[in-house]
Amino acid sequence: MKVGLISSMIEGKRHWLLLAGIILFVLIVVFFFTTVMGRGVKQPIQFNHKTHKEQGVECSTCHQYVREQTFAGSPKIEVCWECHEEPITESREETKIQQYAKENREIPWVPLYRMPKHVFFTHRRHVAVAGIQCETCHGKVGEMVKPPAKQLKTLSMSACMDCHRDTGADNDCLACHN
Amino acid sequence: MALWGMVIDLDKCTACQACLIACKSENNVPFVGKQQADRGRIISWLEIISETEGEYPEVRTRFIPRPCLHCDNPPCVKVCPVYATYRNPEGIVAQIWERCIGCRFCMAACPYAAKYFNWHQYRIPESMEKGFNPDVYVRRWGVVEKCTFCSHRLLRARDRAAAEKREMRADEYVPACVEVCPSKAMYFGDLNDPDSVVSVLGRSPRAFHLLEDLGTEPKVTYLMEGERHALL
Amino acid sequence: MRISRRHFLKMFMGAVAGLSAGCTDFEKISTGWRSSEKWGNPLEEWIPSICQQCIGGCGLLVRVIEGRAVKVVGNPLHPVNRGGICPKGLAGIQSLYDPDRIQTPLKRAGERGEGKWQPISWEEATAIVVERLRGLKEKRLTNSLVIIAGQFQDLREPLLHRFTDAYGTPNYIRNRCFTPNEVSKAHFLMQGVTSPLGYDLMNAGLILSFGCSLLEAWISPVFQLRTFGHIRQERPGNRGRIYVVDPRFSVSASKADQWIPIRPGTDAALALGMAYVIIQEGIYDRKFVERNTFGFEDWTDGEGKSHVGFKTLILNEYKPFTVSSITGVPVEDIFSLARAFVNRRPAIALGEKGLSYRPNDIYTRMAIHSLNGLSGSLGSKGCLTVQSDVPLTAWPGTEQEESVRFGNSQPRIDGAGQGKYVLATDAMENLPGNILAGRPYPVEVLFLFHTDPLFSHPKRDTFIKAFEKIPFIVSFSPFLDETSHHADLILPDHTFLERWQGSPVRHSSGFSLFSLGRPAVEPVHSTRDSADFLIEVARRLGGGMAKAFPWKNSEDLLVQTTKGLYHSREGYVVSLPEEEAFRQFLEKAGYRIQETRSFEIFWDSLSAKGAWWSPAGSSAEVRKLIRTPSGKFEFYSNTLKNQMKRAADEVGGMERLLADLGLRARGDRLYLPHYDAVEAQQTAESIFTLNTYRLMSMSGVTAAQPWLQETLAPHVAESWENWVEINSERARNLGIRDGDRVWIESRKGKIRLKARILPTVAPSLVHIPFGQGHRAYGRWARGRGSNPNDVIMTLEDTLKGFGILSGTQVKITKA
Repeated sequence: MKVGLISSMIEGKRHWLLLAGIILFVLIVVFFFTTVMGRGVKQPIQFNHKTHKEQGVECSTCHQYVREQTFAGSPKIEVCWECHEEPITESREETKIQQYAKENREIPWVPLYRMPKHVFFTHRRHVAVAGIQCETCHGKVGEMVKPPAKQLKTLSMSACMDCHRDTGADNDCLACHN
Repeated sequence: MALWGMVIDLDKCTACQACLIACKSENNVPFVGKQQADRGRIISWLEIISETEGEYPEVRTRFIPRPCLHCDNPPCVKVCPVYATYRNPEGIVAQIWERCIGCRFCMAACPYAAKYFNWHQYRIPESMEKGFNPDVYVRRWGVVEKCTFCSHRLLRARDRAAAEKREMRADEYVPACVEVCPSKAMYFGDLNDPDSVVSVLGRSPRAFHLLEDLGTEPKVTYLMEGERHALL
Repeated sequence: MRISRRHFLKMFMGAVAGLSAGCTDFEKISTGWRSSEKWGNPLEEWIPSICQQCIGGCGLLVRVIEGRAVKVVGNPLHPVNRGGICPKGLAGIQSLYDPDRIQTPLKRAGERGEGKWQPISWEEATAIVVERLRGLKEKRLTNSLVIIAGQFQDLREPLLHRFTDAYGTPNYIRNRCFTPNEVSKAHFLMQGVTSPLGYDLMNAGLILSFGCSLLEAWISPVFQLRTFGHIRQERPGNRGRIYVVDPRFSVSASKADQWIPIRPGTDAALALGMAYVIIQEGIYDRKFVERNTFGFEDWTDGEGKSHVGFKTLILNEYKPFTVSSITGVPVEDIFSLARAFVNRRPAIALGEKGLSYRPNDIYTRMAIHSLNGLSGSLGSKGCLTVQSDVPLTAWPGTEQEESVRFGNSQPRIDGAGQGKYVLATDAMENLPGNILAGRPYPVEVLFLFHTDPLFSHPKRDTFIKAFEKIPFIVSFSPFLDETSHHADLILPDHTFLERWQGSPVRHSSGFSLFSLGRPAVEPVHSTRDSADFLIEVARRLGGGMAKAFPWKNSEDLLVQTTKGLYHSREGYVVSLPEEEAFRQFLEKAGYRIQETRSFEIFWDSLSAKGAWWSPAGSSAEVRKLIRTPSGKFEFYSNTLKNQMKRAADEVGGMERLLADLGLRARGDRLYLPHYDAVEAQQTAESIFTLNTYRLMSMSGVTAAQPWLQETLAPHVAESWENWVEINSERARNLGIRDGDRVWIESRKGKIRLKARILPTVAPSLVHIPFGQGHRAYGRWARGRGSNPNDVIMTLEDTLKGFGILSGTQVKITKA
């Protein structure tokens, strides 16, 4: 019956406005979901976490501040450069490293996880002091051959609070909120 | 657990207003512009209250720097319908910006007028945003804001101590106003420690609290002007 | 109610559109704080710098995150401020990131003052300047280059002086009311010292300030605030006392133990009245006066001529009742002040006010300083003290060609140091008139450096006319201020957080100190350190100029200059107080720790900590403090006598000189502290005497900083404009209410301001703070309030060469 309704609308020319409306609506919804809600992140280099991990590279080798600072830090070009000064693979991505190094600039990594500004989060306390594994919050990034376009795990306040409650950490508002 | 408090020695205070600007710089407090300022909407978590009595030439002016007094019995907390403002276990009267609905009940309740409302989304020129403190969230339009005793500094000091696997020392946490005071008139510390400087000064015969009789039990103690006392 | 399908769809679509629009808006707001997007790796650094918001010379630490300066705090190791900082210093960040800074060199495109500019490259700008200067040199007109420099304390000062010297012009002129790096005139005339003295305020029992705004805008505000806290509640022993003599109930006065309101310009009479009490009661320091002073008792000179002594003059002329009627200070207050000054020794009388007290206020300054002589406040703890020199490497000597010597031998364009300006080091008052008249020669090129006379000087109109006469004007201001609007070329300087700084700063205490500031951030715009520019210009001019500026850039200049500190084997790079106490303990025992093994290590340590100091210099013996030919503290100043004789010869006779100066005293009184009556003031219902003052947070420079615009003063809740303070009763009589707009009118002009009715104001006075009323200087400063300079009559303090900014008669009417 519904098919009939639509086709009758199409047939009846007086419904052309409505039809345009439906198309617009669909477009808006698609636009909304692709841009605002689920905009994927495209990194400048298609970094393969898995290969690196298999070579024995630790997370903290590239995210070098994870145990020392509040932030983990995105990989600096010197770190890449240590191994990739001479090409060691045939990947086209690797040549980009040479390119950035030649231009003497950092790789413009796009941050995927960003804490809301009213939240204070510290990596060193969670990683170095509490000994929480990276996967607990970031998912199994180490098994991915491409950089994740979306967060593998959604971080929510209730997730934080659950974990804090379970581990006996401070759950006072001011323990996290600026 | 610590109980954070402040002592302001009015005999040393010179009303220079450094505390005020230090606070604005530390906490990304916006300037509101001439038009809003004329409507009394300047946001200044810490204010210097001045009071003059007498007629020339027999005059006397008192200056009192007033941050949020972080009452132990805070009237603002009692009226907040959404628990955006509360007294935390360490005595800091906090305001969780993201939870605030901007009803301004707390502003009406606070006898010290220590709360401020964001009447607008105050935008400042892009170049000046570079000077913002990345540690502190910028409050948006429709939110009440107030002094936090720079609690973000407490978070960071505690984090540093934890990373070094030790207890945080009380002197590692100092609000921005106390840090810069040129005449060292402001003291900050743990009121639960009977030997801390704030506890010792709090027992001075010069000590008093603002509007003590309201029973708000403020944790900011003032020392009135006058001779020193044997206690110190 | 029946909803048609079409309605339903319409409503649904509307809701979705609204929702998505709402979300977009939400997104925009939450990322409204754009800069935070880039805080990916917020590694922080703390970089030492020096505050240049005033001349106080506080050490700063700048918190830098990802190349942005996000906070300024006081450097806890710095001996001037020990971690403290004033509101101006904190707001320095807003000057760095001001959206209205000049971003590249600008060349005038339209008429003068029209505001049309063409951005040019630094190369082109340098070429233009070099060509001009070379042209003058070829024509033997080097003396027609004039540099006007404002109020700052920095190595740039000797650098600019050197520039004029090596180029061949005597015209390095300072536009400033305050001269902290020059000796106070009273100290020079009565003690013969030629470099500034310090005051050991930290150990003083009583500080008696004559109009010095100790807690607001005196030499080094933060140092004085720290002193205040220290003497009130910190140091062991007695709680220090502060007495303030001031016509205005300033913040300093309200925080003082006693405020002595005084009729403006009569400070000398009060000081001498106190001297009367001290002498009459015989409570002066007899030992000091007998041994170390000259001219106290009546005396006979070598030719057998007898002279009046200070004592006789005082006892004859300054009886408390007379003084009370002159000053308006009650007799009993004169007695109690005088007794307190003696009983609470060590006591210091401060007469080093920035603005002039009155015309020829040199006698006022001497009168105030004579109190220090009477109480023997020299050469012991808590008294006046020597500020030792900083042992910097001397700059290489300048070999001057004949043409340079010729230029330097020409008279100064402002006439300072000659004739009636005999004691003045700079005579800004006289400058515009002389430029206009081409007297003694026309000015070809003017450099404006950290100064804005079209805002800060009462002779604005004359200056504008005078500037029209000058063919080429270069401004080094980072902002498009009033004076830069009249320039031909603007070469924007870095702000202080972007450049190397070295400062052998004078503060109000005795120790010698050198501060070093590193650039905290990369330059925000295409600006250039003016010191670098001068070095470059000198190099291109070649010859003796190039030899006088042998440095690569300002960093090299600092490295070379601080070598002297390393090799001097005195002083230390600052460190924690405990460490310093230990070192001083060892030093007393005769040991000295050689801290660093090489200059490189010393330099690294200095640039990491921000200052070098030599605390040893703070206590001084009497003989170091008195350098007069007689070896005595001179109540009767032979130095003044000699200077005036020389000036009299220049102008053609003593009577002529005294007439020029408007001095009524004759004979011995001319060289003794004395008080000349002020001319009778008009009295009428609406006539007041204008008194101007400076606020802690607002100066002409800081007017462009919005935080400070919203934090103007603690005593009145005003923002974004200035105001006039009027006595309650007189305002009531004039029908003026608090907050009304009023006209303030003098014979020169009128301005409109908000009236603030305060019970603290003396009935005959009105007070206006300086700093507001800019006609340019960016969006935050322009058009805020009115500039009191527009009504200030150009009275001149001839002996000092600077205008008197208070004392103008004004009429107040409701606007």
